Amino acid sequence: MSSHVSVMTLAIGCATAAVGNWADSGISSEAVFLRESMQKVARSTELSQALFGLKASVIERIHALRDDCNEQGWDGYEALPMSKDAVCRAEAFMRALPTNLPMPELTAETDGSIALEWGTSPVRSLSLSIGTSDRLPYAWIDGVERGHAVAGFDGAVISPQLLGMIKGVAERGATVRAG
Amino acid sequence: MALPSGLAEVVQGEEYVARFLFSSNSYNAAGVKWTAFDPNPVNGETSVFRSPSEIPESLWDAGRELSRGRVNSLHGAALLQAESVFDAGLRIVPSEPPAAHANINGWPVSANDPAMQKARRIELAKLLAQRATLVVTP
Repeated sequence: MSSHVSVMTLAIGCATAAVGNWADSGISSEAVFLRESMQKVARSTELSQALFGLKASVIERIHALRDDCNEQGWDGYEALPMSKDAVCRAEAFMRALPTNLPMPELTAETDGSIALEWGTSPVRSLSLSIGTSDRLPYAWIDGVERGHAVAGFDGAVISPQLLGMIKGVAERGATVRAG
Repeated sequence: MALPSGLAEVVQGEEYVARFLFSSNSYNAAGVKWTAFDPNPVNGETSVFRSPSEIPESLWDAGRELSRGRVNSLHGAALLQAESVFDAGLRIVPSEPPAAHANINGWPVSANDPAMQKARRIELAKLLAQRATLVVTP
């Protein structure tokens, strides 16, 4: 239970920061209020659903990773600290991820982004980078095939194309399944 | 023409390069992660050391020397043949001192579409990681 409370506290921190950004961008206070209320309802629902357990665990790991990578040069070179914005977006992405898909592994990136990884085999995997932009770069290797693309993410809906890619890699190699 | 280390100025495909790993974030049980080759956000290059197919003790010493005063200690190295770097369309440019040091550069750059540039960079880094061998510090 304490871990759920911890996740909720951190999530509210992200929501507060995001509302600040939206307010700066000129969006009406009613819209901000509505969005905030919806987020509170969503969080309340999450905490009451057993299905959210695996997602909550990943979100906790996101915050743990941020703690591990919060100093410049955490990689022994000149990596930037993990960005708070990236953490919030990664959290939102996890909330939006359908529960029938495998949970990703997490990796910090040198530019302050966070990578979500499905299928950890060297010959079959997909890596999605979540940073400060609503355009998410991703790349995959599947046997001899490989490629890269960018998916938009508005904080709530994951593109069907990206979900299809994740599912494809997962069905041929990933492990952990939610639910 | 040779470098101060005695190595040739041009890196040959049959040579190996070692990327020292100072964080457990750079590898897992399956091997080297692509983030191990993620270029330095400051200069856009990936620092490596030229090596024989087996990393000699003198090179491990260089890695340990690098870890002095840094956040983490030396965990190991990702070792791969220079040919794999060239196959990915990247370059290896010697940069001494320290002896045998070089940088992988030529990572995609596009001011118009940074997200697509990064997607391409991840693909190339994944390719390097796929071909790299994880070597734990002796």
